[in-house]
Amino acid sequence: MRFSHTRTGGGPSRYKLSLIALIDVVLFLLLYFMVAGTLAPEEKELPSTLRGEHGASGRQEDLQPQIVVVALGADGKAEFRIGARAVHDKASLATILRVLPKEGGVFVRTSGRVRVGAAAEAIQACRDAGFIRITYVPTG
Amino acid sequence: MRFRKAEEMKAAEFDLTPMIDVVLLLIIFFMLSSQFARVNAKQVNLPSEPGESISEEAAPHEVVVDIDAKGVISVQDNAIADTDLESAFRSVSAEASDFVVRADRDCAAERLNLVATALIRLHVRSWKLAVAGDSAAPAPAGGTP
Repeated sequence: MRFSHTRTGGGPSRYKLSLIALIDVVLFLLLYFMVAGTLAPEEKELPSTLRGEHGASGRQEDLQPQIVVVALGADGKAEFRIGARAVHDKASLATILRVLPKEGGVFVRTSGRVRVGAAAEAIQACRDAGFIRITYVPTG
Repeated sequence: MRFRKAEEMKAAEFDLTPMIDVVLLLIIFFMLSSQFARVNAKQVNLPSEPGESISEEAAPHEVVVDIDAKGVISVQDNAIADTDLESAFRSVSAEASDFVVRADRDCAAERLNLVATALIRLHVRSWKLAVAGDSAAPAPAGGTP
């Protein structure tokens, strides 16, 4: 009987761990994490219902909603009006809204003359104040 | 009894390296394509509000509306004229459509209102305004566009 001879002295390379595959894996993992890192700032969203200026339905609701008007102030900056009060920043708006009854929800009536950022601020302030039913009303 | 020679065994050897490469490339492709599906091609400077996380239970059919800083409105990545908005929404939306509006924070709200009005006319009851989340740079004070 004749056995194949094993290489003991000259060529143990066949039994060595291949470094090429290892390097490939590490580089691809690196590439993945680098790309995933740049994509990390994930988008969020502000959900709201929509309603026309004159109302989508003729149904009379028992609970009156709060109304936040986002419009351009005299100084050329966006301002948030609730009744007679007018504020310029999101935190002040949220503070005012926090003490108001929330059952009827809130209408955010946004003028076309402000920036989208101001409209988003108003919706966010409503959410921060604890309103669940937020309705966006486009005005002009 | 005759055993194979070392040379014969070497010829039958299977190199795993290209297979590992292909498998990893496929994994990376699928992971990235699932991310890009949401990130979208259009680069829009979203309002920097914390908002809320996108729900895992995605709507069966999501319609993405982009409004860039110049006010150009794109529906599913196709620029649409103002007069064609309603017909564009009607053609891409299904019954259970979820409308996500990605509007630039410096864009005039007039453009956003235009989209909102078109959706209201189509009896769409809700939408989602995309925001950048907490990590975004602070937005300038919202004033005249």
